[in-house]
Amino acid sequence: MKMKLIVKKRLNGVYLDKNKHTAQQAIEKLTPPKKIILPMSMHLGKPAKVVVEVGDKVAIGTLIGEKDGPISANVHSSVAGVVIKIENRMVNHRSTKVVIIENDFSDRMELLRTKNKDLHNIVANAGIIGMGGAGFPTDIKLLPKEEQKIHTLIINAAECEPSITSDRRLLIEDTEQMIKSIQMILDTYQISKARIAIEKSSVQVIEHLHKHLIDPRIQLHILGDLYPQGAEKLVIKHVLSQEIPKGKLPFDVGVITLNVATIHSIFSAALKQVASFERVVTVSGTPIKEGKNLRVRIGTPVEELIDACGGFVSSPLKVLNGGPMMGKLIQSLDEPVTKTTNLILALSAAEAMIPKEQKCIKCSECVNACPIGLHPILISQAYRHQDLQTAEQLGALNCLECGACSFICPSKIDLLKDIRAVKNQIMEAKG
Amino acid sequence: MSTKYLGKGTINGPHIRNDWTSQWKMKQVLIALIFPTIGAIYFFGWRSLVMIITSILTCVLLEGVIQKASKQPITVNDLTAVITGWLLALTLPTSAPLWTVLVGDFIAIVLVKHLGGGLGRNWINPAVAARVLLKLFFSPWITNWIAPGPDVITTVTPLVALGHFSREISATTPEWWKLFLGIDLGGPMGETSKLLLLIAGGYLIVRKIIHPFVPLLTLSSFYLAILIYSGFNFSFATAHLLSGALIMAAVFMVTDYTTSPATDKGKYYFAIGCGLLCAVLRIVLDLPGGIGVAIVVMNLAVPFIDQWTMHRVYGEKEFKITPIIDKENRKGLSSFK
Repeated sequence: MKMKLIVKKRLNGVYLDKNKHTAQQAIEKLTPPKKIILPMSMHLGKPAKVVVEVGDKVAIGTLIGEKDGPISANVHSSVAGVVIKIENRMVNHRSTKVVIIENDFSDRMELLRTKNKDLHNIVANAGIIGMGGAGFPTDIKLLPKEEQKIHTLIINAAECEPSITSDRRLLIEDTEQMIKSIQMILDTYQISKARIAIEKSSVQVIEHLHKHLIDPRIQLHILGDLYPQGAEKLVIKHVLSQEIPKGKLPFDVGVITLNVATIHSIFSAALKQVASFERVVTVSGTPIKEGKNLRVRIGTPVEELIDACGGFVSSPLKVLNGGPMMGKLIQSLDEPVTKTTNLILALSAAEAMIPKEQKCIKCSECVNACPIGLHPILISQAYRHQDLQTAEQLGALNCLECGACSFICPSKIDLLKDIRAVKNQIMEAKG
Repeated sequence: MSTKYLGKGTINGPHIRNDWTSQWKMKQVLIALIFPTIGAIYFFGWRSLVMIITSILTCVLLEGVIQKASKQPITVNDLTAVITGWLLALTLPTSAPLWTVLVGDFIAIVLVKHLGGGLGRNWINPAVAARVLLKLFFSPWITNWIAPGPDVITTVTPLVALGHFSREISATTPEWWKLFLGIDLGGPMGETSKLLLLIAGGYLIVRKIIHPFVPLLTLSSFYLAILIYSGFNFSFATAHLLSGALIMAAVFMVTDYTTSPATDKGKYYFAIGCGLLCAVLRIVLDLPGGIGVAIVVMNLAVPFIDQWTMHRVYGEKEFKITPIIDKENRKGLSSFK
């Protein structure tokens, strides 16, 4: 069946070198590590409450941290073994409680037991969170208000950050599961259509999906190659030409958006009763010997992933958790892979060099680059004059922190740094 | 682990940068300026090159001195002073004495650019303002137009030949192709050949330094206004379009980053305003060189245009008018001590 392609008008953003070098690398299973480090706050919201003690025997899927409050998520063990330590640690620049489990390599499996068979309860029980990077607990997205009719499910396969290929590999290798999972969500919520939003540069995936998409409800939506279009708010705007009003969630406009990896986890949870305990991580970058897509247990130290790719051939200046635009620096390689880690990227000194700032020449590149219509340079100027009121009027709090402005600036002004700082100040002032 | 990893540097992204710089952008403008300069040398001889080089050196020197004196970091290598000096020289006739160049450079760099706040903060385009003031105060010296050629023959510019409230082409107006190519025309050294200016503009558009709509809107709004005024006398309007500094200004001055609005929409309004105002000044006030005054007036209107053409922020209901924010602009005078 011929797919209907819908191409929508261009929105603002920047064009990046895609660097999808690992697009052809099939997903490899990484040998489970000797021990895993499970942070209790991989998601957005309140950290999970630890429900095990040192010495407890656990299996894959045993509940380790329990959802604490409405915006929170369960954490399950990703190996079978013994809890050896519970301590506080810095993970992803946040201090969080971590549970360290030693692997006994028996791979005993504990299936999920969900009393209520609602999809939303299964997802909550399985500890599934948005695996694209934000880490918003997925069960909240699947619990629309009574009066709200959902009309579209958007599967976010944009992967607009450079280097990431984990989602496209999942789409190619686990197509059947993905489609089943999408159909299940469509049936459960009686949604009439699903749109897979994908960049036009991932030709291979598009061709592959053309062959396999038979259900007329599920269609592809081809996006341009712009960054950032994979942000939830923007993907909705691209696909439906609709914006989410300030302070609202996607389901307020009748939309559910889910990331590819998240849909994959929902499939495992709903049809195989398996908790969210592993994910696909791309390891890439010029200092890495051989870039790969790895299926990794949550909590595996980053070092193990890099070793599996042959280690470094040259010394990296930075290793990032995430892409070069929105990723965060990994301070030490024993930090674990979390549910939101889609990419481990090593950057050489030349790539990650940040040149010295010069004076603004008012070229308005940042104004044209901002995907949500902010004037980054004006916010930056307001911040440097400590004029918080003006910064707020300019919409500083709406900033998605995509970094397009800092990237494009020919005078190399780190606009996003100023915007982040002013956002924090405004939030502090508000209390 | 083969290599030790230290994990130092900025924590938050973006961790990569675009590889272009402000200097690169300015260099493109300099490359574009070579085209009219070739024309100047070809039509008016080597004295034009002497004037251009004098002007550039003076501007760079003045900027260096003023930054040194006010204890600011010296930023002459950002090339903006070079552009100002070069542009200003191109707007003068080769018959202008060298001291007018120096006075013009002083007005541009000291009075307009640095008293106006420095790079990226001046309200008015330095080269344009200097040109307008020179014309106002030193008119006999810098409007002593000469025709190209070995002998110094005083002539009039096509615009003067056209002018004086007429709606018809006067007998002394050259043919349009002469206007277009700049053959046998008196006038500022860089402005006579419209062909070379359009090539320069084309280069800047291809390099994405300027937005193509900006010169196009300036010229088309001007053309339309003259057409309507002259009762659709196309040859009259074309002669007007190809006369004077209009095309030079549309390519190099209306497109100036610092003194034009921030958003594309704002830039369009700005360009249309420049074109229309220039037409009005030429017709109503019989003022040759009206585009210079038009640009200065529109420069002053930029903060208001900015205010009305800000992008709508995602998810915000309606267009919100924010107060003028660019405080650095306002601080212009006080920051210079």
